[in-house]
Amino acid sequence: MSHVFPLVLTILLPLILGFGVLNLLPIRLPWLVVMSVSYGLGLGVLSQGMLLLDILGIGFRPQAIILFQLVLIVLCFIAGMRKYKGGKSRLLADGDSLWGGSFFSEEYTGKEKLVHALILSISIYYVLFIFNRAVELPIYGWDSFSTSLHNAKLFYYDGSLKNLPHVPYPVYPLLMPFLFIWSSCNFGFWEDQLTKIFFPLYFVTFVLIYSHCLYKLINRKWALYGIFLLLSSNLLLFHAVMEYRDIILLYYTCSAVLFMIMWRKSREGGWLILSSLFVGFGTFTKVEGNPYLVVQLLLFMYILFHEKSLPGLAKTKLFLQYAFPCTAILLLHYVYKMSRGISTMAYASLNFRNPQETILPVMKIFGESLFLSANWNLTWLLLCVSLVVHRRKVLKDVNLQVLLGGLVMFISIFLMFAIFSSVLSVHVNSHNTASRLILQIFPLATLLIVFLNAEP
Amino acid sequence: MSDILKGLYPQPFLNGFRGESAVMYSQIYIMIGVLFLLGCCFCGLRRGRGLAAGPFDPKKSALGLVTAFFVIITVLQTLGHMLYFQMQHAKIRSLSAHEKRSLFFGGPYNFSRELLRNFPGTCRGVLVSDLDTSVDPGSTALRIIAYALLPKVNLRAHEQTPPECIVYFNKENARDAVPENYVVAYEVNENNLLAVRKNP
Repeated sequence: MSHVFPLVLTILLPLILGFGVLNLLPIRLPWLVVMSVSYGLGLGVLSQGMLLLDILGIGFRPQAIILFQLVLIVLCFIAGMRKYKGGKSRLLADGDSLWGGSFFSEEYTGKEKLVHALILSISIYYVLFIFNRAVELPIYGWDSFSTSLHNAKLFYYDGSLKNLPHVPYPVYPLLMPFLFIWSSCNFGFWEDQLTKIFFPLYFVTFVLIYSHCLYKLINRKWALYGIFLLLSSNLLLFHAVMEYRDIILLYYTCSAVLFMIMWRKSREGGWLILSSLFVGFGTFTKVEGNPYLVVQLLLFMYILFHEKSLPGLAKTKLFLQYAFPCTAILLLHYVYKMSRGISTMAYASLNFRNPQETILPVMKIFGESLFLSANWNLTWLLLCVSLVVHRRKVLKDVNLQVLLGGLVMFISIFLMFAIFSSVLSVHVNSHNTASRLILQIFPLATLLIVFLNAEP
Repeated sequence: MSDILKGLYPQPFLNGFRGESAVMYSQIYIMIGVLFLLGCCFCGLRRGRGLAAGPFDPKKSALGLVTAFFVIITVLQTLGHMLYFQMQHAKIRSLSAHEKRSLFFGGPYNFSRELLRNFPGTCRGVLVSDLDTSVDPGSTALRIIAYALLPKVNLRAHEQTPPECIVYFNKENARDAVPENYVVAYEVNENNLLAVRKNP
């Protein structure tokens, strides 16, 4: 029972902070989606705040971190007062819910209702499972005790990042270590079991965002089928209960792509700001977030290129507005690391070897990871067949082009790094890394399947 | 049935589900391919006899076939998942947090825990072992010990200065290996101990 209050505080305060920031954005959402977005947004802002506290020499005192959040919450709510009408935030969309209605309403046939019941049963089972499993086990991921949580534990006891240049892999981004430091500050001791609640929450909030966007972009039924496709991946569910950063990067990266598509549909500026912030937080989660930022900027340029109704100047302005927040987050982190004398270019060094030694083995590993592991069910085969069957749809629909382009670019990045990077090639040339890299963008594949197969 | 479930939900590893699944998935692809070809042949025969091919559309049939297999696999792997974790849960549900850690991390964790209980100081040190710490199992052991010993003993995150302490893990006759200017601070057994510098 004594653990309940620190755990609630650990989640609730960043959630309120995220809500405060979200409340400033021009956007309207159902409350469950507000919570889901606020969760990732709040933790992202908190992580930036903790970096700032360290830069200012304040360090990770619990009171300082709490005060930082409270001040920001108050400021956000004062700034957001103009959005309140009749005591209710205008952020919350009136009369709109997560999926806009029931999966068992009269509009569905008996067979469809049966399918919906099956999918919902599997979904509920997995949600209950991941929460139970995540907090049942202490940390056990190799990468966690080897790097991210080893470093986090050291920073927590140091009360600052003073040992950052000496830790293993100092170039690694700090969002996950900061989450564990924040949680341990609330507990008053190093807590690495209950704190794992962050990971299932990232997963579940992503599923809520993903399914709401599908409902808005297509319809309720396909939102549910989208969830089914997502939950059919063994590896995704497995990672939802463990302390690897891939699930966090998945949340930020895939949500950012979805938000760009939502902006295309609704033209609510809030989606763009959110997308950009999430891309930025992705760069603060894993090194892979950096090339993803470039991909997202390219995707947004593509979207703008197809917006015939917008004048060139407006497109340039929008692009700069999009590029600024994410690049600022990336730069803050990198400038800070460089100021501490940490080499940030390790992953950029290239290694040109005989292509036969690299390209074929890497392609083989990726092929096996995609098609011959039990990680993804038949998702990739389903995607290939869907693309063949509905190829004409791709030529007409910009959303599909964005998703497909994004997927191709993300996978190309892995392949390029695996083939040419002198550091990563060692790691990526294994099934282990390939699976986890694919995991980070896996929901884009399920989104594509839904977009391709959904009835108009 | 048990083999099918194991193929669709094999022993999970941190970075992926492989094991028996490569064979299982190869067989599934072959089954899908054979069923699809049979469907095509059947329709071709009907057409050859001047009969209507029915609602058979090769592309849509392929999609339907893959979807059907997808759904079946999802249901079966959910069953495999339930069985696997039921067994796992049974193993660990009655254990305390430390017992769970001990189960997962084994000897290196138990060694670190005993050192933490009995070493009152703090120091920056190195690990010395007969295990090669650049490859497994030595590599994992080093990392588990380094993580578990924090904050008392910092093994992996400090400037390259002469170590204040040396952690001997799985080092045969560890006492013999302790340098002259170090003294044994705590000895777990003859192969595992902590030595600290006399005048750090």
